[in-house]
Amino acid sequence: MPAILTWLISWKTLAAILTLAIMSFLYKENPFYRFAEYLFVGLSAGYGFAMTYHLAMKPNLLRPFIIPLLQRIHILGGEPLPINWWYIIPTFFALCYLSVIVPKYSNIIRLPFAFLLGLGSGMAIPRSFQAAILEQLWDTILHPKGYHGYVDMSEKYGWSLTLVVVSAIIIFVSVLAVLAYFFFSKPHKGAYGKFARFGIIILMIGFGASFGSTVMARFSLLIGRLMFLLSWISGFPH
Amino acid sequence: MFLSRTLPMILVFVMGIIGFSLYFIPHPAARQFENTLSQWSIAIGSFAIFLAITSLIRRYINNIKRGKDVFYSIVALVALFGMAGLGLFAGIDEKSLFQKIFINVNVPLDATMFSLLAFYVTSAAYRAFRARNVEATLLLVTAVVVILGISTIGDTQVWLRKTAEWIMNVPNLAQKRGILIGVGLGVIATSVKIILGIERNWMGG
Amino acid sequence: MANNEKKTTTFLEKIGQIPRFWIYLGLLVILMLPLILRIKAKPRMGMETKMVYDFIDSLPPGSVIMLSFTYGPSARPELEPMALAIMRHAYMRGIRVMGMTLSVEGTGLGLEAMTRVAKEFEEAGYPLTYGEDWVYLGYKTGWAMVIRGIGGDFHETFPRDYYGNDTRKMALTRDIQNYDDIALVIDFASGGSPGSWITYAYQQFDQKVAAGVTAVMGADWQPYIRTGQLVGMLNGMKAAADYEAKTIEMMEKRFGYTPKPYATVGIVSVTWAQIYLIILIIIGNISFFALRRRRRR
Repeated sequence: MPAILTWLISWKTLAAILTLAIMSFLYKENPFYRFAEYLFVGLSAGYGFAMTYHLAMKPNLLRPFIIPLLQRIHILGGEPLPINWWYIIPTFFALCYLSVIVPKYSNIIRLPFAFLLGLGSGMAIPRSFQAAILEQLWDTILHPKGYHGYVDMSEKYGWSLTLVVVSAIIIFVSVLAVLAYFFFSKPHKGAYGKFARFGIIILMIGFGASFGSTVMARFSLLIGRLMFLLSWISGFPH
Repeated sequence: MFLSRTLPMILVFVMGIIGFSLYFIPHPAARQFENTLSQWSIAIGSFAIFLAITSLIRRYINNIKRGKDVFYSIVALVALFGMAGLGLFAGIDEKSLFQKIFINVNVPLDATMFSLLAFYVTSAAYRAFRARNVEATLLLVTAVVVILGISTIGDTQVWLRKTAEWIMNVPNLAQKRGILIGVGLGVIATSVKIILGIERNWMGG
Repeated sequence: MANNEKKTTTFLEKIGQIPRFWIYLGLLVILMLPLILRIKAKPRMGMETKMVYDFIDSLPPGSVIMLSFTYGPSARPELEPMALAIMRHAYMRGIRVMGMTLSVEGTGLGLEAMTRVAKEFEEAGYPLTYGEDWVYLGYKTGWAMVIRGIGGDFHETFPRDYYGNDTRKMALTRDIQNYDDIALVIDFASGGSPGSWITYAYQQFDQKVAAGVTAVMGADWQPYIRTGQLVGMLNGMKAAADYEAKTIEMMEKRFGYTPKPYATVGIVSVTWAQIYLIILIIIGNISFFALRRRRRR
């Protein structure tokens, strides 16, 4: 096959065409873009299903219970697998998901929801309290139970002791101010109002930092695509 | 009624209380039980994909029935069944057709969609990022210092890097921490509401 | 009136109205130039990145670390080079690597990244053995429960690897019972998954966790570093370039082999584009103030 044909009929060319189809959206919405969009949704769903089957459903539910059960009642053959009878419980809840296929019975789907949501919520309460509130407060008030981030800072970032102390005070006051800003049960007036306004200032600095960082991410993604297109073009036989 | 409302409410309450209390029981049996429940959840959760796939298929079939976007809907359905079939029956290792399609079709499509944001962010920053008042000015100045400080420019301009590091580790940290504590409280409040049956949106109305 | 205003528009006001087409084209040119000229950066490692590097560097050979590829294609240019660099660093130090993902789209990307580094080491004349030096476990459903599950019983959570091998029989995974046998988890995340690792692995099991995140989220994870809930963080393509430059240098020195650079090339374009953006913001503001001054007059 001539070199140019090998270049044209390749996975890379296909990927490049699809990249350009999506980029055409910059000009305006068009049939190429829509084709690519629907193709993407379909492929992703199919991909997700196959992966979930192979990597989650089969090893974590079918193999411990359903396959050995079917072997025992001689529906499936093969080397007999050990059975874990406790898995009858998750199997019941998992099969409830299949009720979506028949809209009349689709309410049954609330049972697995309830199981997962209840357990998840219950487990989240103490751990979220620990991770998002306690640990953060300990560091804010420099509680001895907390990790001594402020000591670390001075060593790693080369901060002077004065800077470390001033920063710790700023953090303490600022966290309070941000919380005050989001606390709407008390009207933002007088001294409290001024404190909440300091909260806005801290919020703005934080959003500025987030934006400054975000810009890098946005450019990185486009560069990824441009690097790909360049490597595709450079493969053109000459 | 019992099966569709009462039973799920009882179940969510019981599971919630179990999930909550197990954390405070250090006995190995309790640890083991908590682990068993987690393993069951992984197994149950894997079947949730049926919900996603079924509603997607139903949507495209409805589209076709109503004569809306017929061609595109057929494309999506063929892609869905084709890809799932390939993955289920023809292997998923790195040399398989399944993985080749993923890397050469899915990846460029998804990555390109998000890469367009670079254009929009540039255009929007140019048009809307104005130092209108104190707050906006602060936002702008911080953004510029952080952009420069955390980039390769900060590698040579030490003062810029130091300033950006300080912003990230002090005012930014305080702001994120304030929000984090708020969100943490929100998560806890929502969890309690779900367990007690006050929050029922998950039942779909 | 409107017509009148248009006629007297000064240059300073006009530069605030460059059409979108030219802005886009300018960006494209700025991004492409360093790529075409193949300019490479020699970055200096930022502090949060160095924390992760130092931690991995301090692990004894034979330790096992776990990478979680919790990202989709849209975050790949930022996160994949990080993962590649960390794997190179680990293998060169004799540290073994397990890969997994909590996001279904991450499954294929994790496979691609892990096989690529394995191939690099083969080309460098230092082949790695699957099942001993590295293992790919693939995807599981549900963030919190999977993370909690590994802490309880690793083999029950991951009975099989990606290829369907029994994890109780493979040399690397045979002896792993729970987090006690995993020295570090690094979550490469385009979303909030590091929060789940912190909440369910660090808080309950004292598991050391590090995060590699997209720059969109970088600022959000800062509080967790100071509290020690994260041992360090790689933020965006700059961190990827820092780590990549270091590992490329290491591989060149040790094997005389140069892996294909990615982030060290891309970061130059990023920097140029960042300066372009700042110039645009300044131009926009000059025009804004010129217009405001005239309106006030």
